[in-house]
Amino acid sequence: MPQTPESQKVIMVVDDSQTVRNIMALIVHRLGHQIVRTRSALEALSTLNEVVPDLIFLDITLPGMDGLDICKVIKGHPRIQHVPVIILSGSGQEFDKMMGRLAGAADHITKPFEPETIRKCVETYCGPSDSAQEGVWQKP
Amino acid sequence: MAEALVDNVDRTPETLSPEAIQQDMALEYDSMVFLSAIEQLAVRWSSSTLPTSPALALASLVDLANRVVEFVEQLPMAKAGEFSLHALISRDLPNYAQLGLQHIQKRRFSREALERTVQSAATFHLISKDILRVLNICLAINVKAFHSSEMRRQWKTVYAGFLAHVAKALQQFDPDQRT
Repeated sequence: MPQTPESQKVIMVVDDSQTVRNIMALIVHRLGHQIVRTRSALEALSTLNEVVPDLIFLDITLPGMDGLDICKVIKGHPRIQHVPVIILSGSGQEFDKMMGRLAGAADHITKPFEPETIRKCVETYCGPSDSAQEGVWQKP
Repeated sequence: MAEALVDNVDRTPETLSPEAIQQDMALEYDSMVFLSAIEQLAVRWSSSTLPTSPALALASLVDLANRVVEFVEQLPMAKAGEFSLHALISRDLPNYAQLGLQHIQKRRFSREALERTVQSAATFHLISKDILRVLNICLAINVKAFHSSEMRRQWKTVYAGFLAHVAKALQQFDPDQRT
């Protein structure tokens, strides 16, 4: 198995939109980290049995169990409760942010988002990567 | 199971000039912002939030399409080639079932003109297919603007997924069942 630099982290995204998962994959890849993409609560919880990511981006609206409930499950599980969870939502309303905090989320990002917002968030919770792609987003 | 980590596949790097790399990164940044925004428009087409009337559905589609046209118009290669919606549709006219030059006003799709054409579920589906064809061409222009073949491959896949989602949602929409 190839060695990965210590600064390369595993970032999980849980979103039922294939487009959002794909954008997040491109951003995370450009920043030099690895991505794990899942589309539902069931898939996310199943994956979390096998992988402990360094950071989780979690859509608030998912089929079946919503993002806030998954966040509570994560925060109640000793093996993964230390993993920061960032809530993604289509609304920047204070109520969503408050509900996210109550569920144990570390932060909240409103969709649509800019790559720079994701980058700042990744660097805050994972630190900078040594493997970021050459010339990554020199425009703002 | 989680989706495959296709992003970690090693590929032989191309030799691109620093300027080309910088241009690609700037274009990618703009494309990500743009796609994130139009995805929020497309979310309206998901099963639980489908527009409730043909007029709303059409308005939503026209809004999406005009955002795409506006974005592509700003690309350097589109500017150089004097891209316009009018020219694009003129060249491709035989391939459209319903869409015509009468549906364009001031370089954008006209919702009012399209509403006059959409009188039934059948015409809604025909015209939405035509508009999807335009979106496909516009997004292909965006893809071609990347210098890096790897980025062209990645963005082709990303946009294909986006268009497939919109096409599926439009196919499921039945204007006759909604008032």
